[in-house]
Amino acid sequence: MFFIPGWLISIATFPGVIVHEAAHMLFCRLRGLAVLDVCFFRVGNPAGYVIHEETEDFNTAFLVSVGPLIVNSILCVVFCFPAFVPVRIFGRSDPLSYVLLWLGISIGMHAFPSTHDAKNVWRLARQQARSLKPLVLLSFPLVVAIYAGNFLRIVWFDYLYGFALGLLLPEFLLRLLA
Amino acid sequence: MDGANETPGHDEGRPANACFRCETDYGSVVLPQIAGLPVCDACARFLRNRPFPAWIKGSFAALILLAVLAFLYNQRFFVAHVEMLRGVRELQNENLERAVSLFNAAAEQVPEEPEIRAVARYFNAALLVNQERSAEAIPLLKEALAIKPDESAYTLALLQAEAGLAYEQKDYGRFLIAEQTLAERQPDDPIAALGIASAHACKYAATGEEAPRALAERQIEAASKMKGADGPAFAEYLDRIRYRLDTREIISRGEYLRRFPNGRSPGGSGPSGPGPDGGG
Repeated sequence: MFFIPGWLISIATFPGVIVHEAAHMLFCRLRGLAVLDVCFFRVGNPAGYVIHEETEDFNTAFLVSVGPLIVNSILCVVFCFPAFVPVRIFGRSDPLSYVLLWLGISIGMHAFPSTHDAKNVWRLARQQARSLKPLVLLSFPLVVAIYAGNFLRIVWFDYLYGFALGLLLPEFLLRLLA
Repeated sequence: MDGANETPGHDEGRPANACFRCETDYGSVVLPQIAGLPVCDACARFLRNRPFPAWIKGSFAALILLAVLAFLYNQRFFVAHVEMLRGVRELQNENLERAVSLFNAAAEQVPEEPEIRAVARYFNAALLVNQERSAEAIPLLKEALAIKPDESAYTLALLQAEAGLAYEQKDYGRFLIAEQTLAERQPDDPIAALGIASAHACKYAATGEEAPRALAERQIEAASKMKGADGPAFAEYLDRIRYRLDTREIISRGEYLRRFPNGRSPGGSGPSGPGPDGGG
């Protein structure tokens, strides 16, 4: 396993950073949360951010935090799907397909919310644990998964996630279709 | 990253009722607060419904359009792949005819993919051999081999088709040579070994001479001792050879299965999918 600086990965996969922040912002808008400042991409740490007002509503906090997991994952499949059969199955090498695969996997790589995102959900989930609401209960393993996903970035888990989502899921879906 | 806990800094020099965003001073009117910062109604509406920048909306629309166009452009690859997958499933269900039609359809979708064409030709040939139309199968297999000369399955299928053709033309001498070649290429395959017995049995049925009958019996004995000689395909093939030796009547596999759908031997060894060859 070799080390590549985070800022370099962010530059190489910048569409994923942009979509990640756009997903946070989208769910802020959908849940009526004020967005005070937003940076879709920059060379730095963090590579992007959305500053929004705090909320005590669990559903809102949950959706805003896991928004990238939903939006980035969907867009990863959407962009990889048209390209994976020609490239992966038929070994075609047309540039458009490679662009779409880069786009899709870049977006998929940035699907995992940050630990900062997970902290917001964790705080509210602990407060509301006794309510036994399904979303609250779901959030506990999800937060653990987010922490694990972030930790495993050192072994390229984010890339593997994007790759699996972009190339293996479409194959699985096509097999179901067939 | 989601930065809910970070808020833009409050300007100490700003009047208490000045909107933090547009900086309009509302004097004695107390402004509502967002994240602890005074904000006027217009700015609050803007912040709660902050529009996406035009470049984000434009790029997103352009990329979605690109993905849709790429999908339409590559659609035939998807169709071909799905047809190949369905064809493989039909093969697993032992529906060779349906599989061949799907493989042929896939090959037509992507004519620039010779390997798909080779697979289609190979299974089409297998179907033709099973239908005792080996003469039609041979050019298809030659085409498949021209595409993939190193594919041993195609080479073996061509030998089987040549054996089938000899059998269909009642040239049992050539049939025997072809079966011997096949058995040499697959020394561990009991069905290939039975192929030699089948050819000897044909010679016996055609001439009534005892020598080929004895050779057939010896070959059956050798094949029966081989590993893997206990499967249903082996039993069914052996049944057909035995029928030929017992009656001196040479009938096709289809005719044999029509007459003895549950096999001739007690306990039966009925049809077991496409046979090892067409009629031999």
